Amino acid sequence: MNHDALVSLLRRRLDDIVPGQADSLDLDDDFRDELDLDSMDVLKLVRALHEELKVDVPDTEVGRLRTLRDFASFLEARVG
Amino acid sequence: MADDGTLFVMPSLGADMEAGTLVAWRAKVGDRVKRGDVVADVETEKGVIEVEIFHEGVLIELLVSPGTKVPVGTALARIAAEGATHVDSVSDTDSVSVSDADTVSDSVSDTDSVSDSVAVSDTDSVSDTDSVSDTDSVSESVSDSVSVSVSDTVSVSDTDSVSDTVSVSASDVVTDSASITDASPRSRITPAARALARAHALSLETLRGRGRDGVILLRDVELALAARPNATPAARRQARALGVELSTVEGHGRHGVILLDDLPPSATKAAPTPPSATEPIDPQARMRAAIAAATSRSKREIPHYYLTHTVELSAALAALEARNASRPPTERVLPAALVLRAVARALRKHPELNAHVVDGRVIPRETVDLGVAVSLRGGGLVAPSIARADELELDALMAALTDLVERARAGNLRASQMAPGSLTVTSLGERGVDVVVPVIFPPQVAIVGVGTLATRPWVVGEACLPRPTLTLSLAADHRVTDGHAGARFLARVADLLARADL
Repeated sequence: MNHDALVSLLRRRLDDIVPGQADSLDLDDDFRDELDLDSMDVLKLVRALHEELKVDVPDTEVGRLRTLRDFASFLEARVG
Repeated sequence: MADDGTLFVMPSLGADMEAGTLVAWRAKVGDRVKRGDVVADVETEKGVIEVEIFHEGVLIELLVSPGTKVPVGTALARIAAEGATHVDSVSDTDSVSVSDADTVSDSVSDTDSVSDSVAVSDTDSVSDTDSVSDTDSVSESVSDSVSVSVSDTVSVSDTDSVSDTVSVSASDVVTDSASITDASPRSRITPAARALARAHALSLETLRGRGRDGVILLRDVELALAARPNATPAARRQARALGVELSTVEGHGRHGVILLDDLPPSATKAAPTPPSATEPIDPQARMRAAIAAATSRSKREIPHYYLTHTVELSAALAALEARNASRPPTERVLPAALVLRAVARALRKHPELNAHVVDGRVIPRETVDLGVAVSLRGGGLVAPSIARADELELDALMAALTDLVERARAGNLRASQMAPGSLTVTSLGERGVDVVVPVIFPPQVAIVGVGTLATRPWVVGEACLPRPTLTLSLAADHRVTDGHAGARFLARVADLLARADL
């Protein structure tokens, strides 16, 4: 799965959590601030990605991944 | 007495709820229902709530159709005990008896100053009931150590001045009590709950028992009282005599207390105004109005005191991180669950903060049910609760929290989650707030605030080191506790939270 596909996937999963706002996110926006996510929301995102991609985003990494670009890059390095 | 079934009533889903709209039935006539089954969706200011039933049996009649708004306590449906044939019931109001054939009959001595233990005996009050079982578990679930003293003074809650207390003469009270017929002699109730209900002229018929097998606990009475509009005893009697629903009456006493003058005189029986006439339709506006009402009341009535306590969390977080690292995301625990666990367990040791104030009276609570403030997208706030949070292990608490937040935001909380908790925990730490200075949710007497977890300077020995810390805060009701008790509670929370044993 390439970077663009992963960004689209992230948008879809974020849209499940906060409907109707993920499409307008820029690649370099801090998506937590933009979508007003809390730690429960982010955990939900991590759980959804784990189920779909079998990629685990460890606790220690989650806090560092602030943008769609960074998050997709992190996933890209771990998905086949 | 013929078996006319048990009534399933519109529950009180929060201290500020006066009425609810039945959105849909989830069960139909003839369905077999058991405790905990979701049987209806009810809409309140806080969204659509899944309402569970606390009786067992067969649904024999639906009394309210979807789309109808009815006051708390209104009968919604009738349930017949399964296999119930014919049971004589005892109409002596001072002895509690049960008629559902599959439940226990117990006789409870009624005292006014109460040591709340229920004597379960296979006794003279039992008649045709054929199975007496479960007595141990019943006595276990309804026994508690709460004591309530019931005085003859009914006070309208108000702390501004002594003169606002409405005193009732003894004869009034007698009349009042006498008029409480336990219309349903089958209600089972603990002595403390009965005493409180009687002191407030609350009809047992409208109460929903949350104890095992539907036993009415002190808490159920508190909930019903909290949901009741404030009115003077005379106004209450008049309303009852006229058949006027108090929630439809506008009070002109201080703080909106309903006075006798607010009700029509006995001769003319007024038609109640439709409750929806003046209420905003927009759910957002309704939620805003509900929050405004609760917080205004809090700031008006409750003399808050505030304390803060900063706690260093490196050991606890290291333990949590190690635990999470070895688990899939579905089993991960957030620091928020650690905080809830610490608060719940500390509260167990500080029963003085586990109380509600209802009509100016302090009512100790029986269980530690933790309220959690959940902000909703698009604005607004709900504070549903996790029942018996102090008894939950970390994983179970995390699961309960996840479910609570998800349901709160999706607008489909369960009725059991809507019961007001012992106290509420409110966290604004995700947005960089250093210290929360919270507002108590009536009828609670305290609230715990959680600030941002961040790395800050911390002195260890002679050195100042970067360490993860957060600041807990407590707002508590000075009518009920003093700062010393609050400080000890907060120190206990901090101590439990700092520990590395998960």
